[in-house]
Amino acid sequence: MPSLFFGMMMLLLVPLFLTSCNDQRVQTVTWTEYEPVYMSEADFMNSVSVVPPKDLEVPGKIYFYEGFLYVNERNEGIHIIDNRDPSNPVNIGFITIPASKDLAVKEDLLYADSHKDLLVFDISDLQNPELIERIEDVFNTAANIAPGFTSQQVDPSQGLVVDWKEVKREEICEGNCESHPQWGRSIGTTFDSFSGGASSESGGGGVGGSLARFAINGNYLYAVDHTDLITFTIETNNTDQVSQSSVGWAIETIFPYNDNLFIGSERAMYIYHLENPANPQQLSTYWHATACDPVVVEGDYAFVTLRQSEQCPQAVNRLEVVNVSELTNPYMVNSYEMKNPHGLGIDGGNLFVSEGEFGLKIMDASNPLDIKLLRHIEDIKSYDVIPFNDVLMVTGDEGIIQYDYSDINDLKKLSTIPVFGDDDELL
Amino acid sequence: MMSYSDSKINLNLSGVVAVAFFLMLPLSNAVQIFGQASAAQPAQGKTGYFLQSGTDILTSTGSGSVTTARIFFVNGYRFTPNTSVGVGLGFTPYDDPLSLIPFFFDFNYRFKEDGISPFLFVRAGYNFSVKNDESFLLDDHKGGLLLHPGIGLEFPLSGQFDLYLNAGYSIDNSSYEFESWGNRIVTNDLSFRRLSIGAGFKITP
Repeated sequence: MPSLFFGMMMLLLVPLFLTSCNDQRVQTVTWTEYEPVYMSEADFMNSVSVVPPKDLEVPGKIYFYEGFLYVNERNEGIHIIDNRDPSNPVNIGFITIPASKDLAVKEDLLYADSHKDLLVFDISDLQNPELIERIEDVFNTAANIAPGFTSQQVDPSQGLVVDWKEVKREEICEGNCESHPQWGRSIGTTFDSFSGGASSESGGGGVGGSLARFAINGNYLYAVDHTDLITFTIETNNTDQVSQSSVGWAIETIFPYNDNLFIGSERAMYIYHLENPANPQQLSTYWHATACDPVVVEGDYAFVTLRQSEQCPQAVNRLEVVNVSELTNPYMVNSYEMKNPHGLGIDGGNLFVSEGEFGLKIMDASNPLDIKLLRHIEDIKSYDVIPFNDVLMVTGDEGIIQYDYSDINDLKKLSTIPVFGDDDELL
Repeated sequence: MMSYSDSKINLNLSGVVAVAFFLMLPLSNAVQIFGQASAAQPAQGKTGYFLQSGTDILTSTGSGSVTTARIFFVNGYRFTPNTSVGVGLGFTPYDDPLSLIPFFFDFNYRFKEDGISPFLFVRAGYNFSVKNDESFLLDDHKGGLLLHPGIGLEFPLSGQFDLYLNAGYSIDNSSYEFESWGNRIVTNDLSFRRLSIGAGFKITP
């Protein structure tokens, strides 16, 4: 017995003593990043088309105009939905537009971006929209910016970047990994999905959202990319760019109200006056903490939600109420802690705040200095809202849910336009 | 630069030593240890319960590795004059950024029943991890397997006391995880592979 034990011990000891006496460190780094999806310029120019209706998969911004709901399918095109009966919406068609994220509608014309271009469609026949104009190279770099972290450099020789694909990476190293991926932080919510809402009802145009980058006021279309405000005249059938001015960095949203533009960025809200609509003039800047921050306005108050997200990791989660009665001197009058506010909308003192995975809050903002929570719908995920004519359109993981809010204390669900994509992509 | 959050308890060295000592020290034997340490009963050639305490110096031949020391206690039972099995608990401050609390079984074989005797030993068990650097925020950390075989020489001192010296090869595993910039999850799997030189004593009541 002792000799057996001794033998076993020796068998165990000998190979161990032959192994290394160096500490071993194996480092595994995993991360998710985006890589560009390319399309040749020829394919890009020829890829705009009208196709039969298709399911919503990765919906982006929504726009409501005269009973029809236009839903951007992120980087793919625009769904056209007949919403004249909100309890029975009907998907009637799809316009294929590569690298498209923003849209606006006025009368029979639909404006959409496509990479660096602005496209104009004649939608007088909604069954057969027609591309009538392409204004090239008006938006800078937007499509070339990844919606999140990336280590990929855009290679123009491969074509135009029409989308970004999420991929998972893993690096395993002995010791510490040295080849760290480069920081490729996204710019604000440029590519956030479901960023319509907040009822930016503008003169002559439809209802956009608190996260919209397109806004129509009178005979002008205003668009922001991540640095500039670009103005187009849409007075005639010809759409022309009439001005372009630098606003700041990480511009996210534009909201027209009473001949003014309220432009949201990660660090500030900029107020522009439209006395000369062809050439908006900046009136003031309201600085706030760095955050993803849509803005809506009603009366003398602007409502700004600040949100922490992957794009804004150090941000806070709150609703700030800003007195804008003097447009040259905006100042905060109150703030309210929120969980993770995304888009918002206001209609007649009824404030609707999308709280992302924490649901939807309906608040009484008739006294902006003392906003009261009326109801918190927690069993849905919501990212943005459009309250318009007593119909609340809520975008979330389930799809676009519509409520009747004619009685604010008794919301009635009207319908759901379902989404069939990956939930994770909705953010 | 990193945004981390700690999710595990943190213990300091003195606390761990104190806890380990009292866990491993049966009260009934403590009186004997401190009060009758020089009793005349010979320790060797006997069977029965014993208490062992020791320190292992753990050193690496690789550059950048800091030599450290493991302290431990073993409650054991000698089944025959040659063979014993014990259960041990200790503390190993690796500072990388974890320290380890080894919980292990100790198997020991003496070549001689009496007098100065060479012996073989194997310790095998699990290292529990504790964070020892508050400035290093972790999302997660955990211990890993411990294996420590070796050889030694045991000297009878007086009565119930034996002194021993040993040398061996120690493997301590652990891992920790944190989030780095770009939402990167960084996992470090550590395997401390060290030569050991140890000394200690055994008390056989």
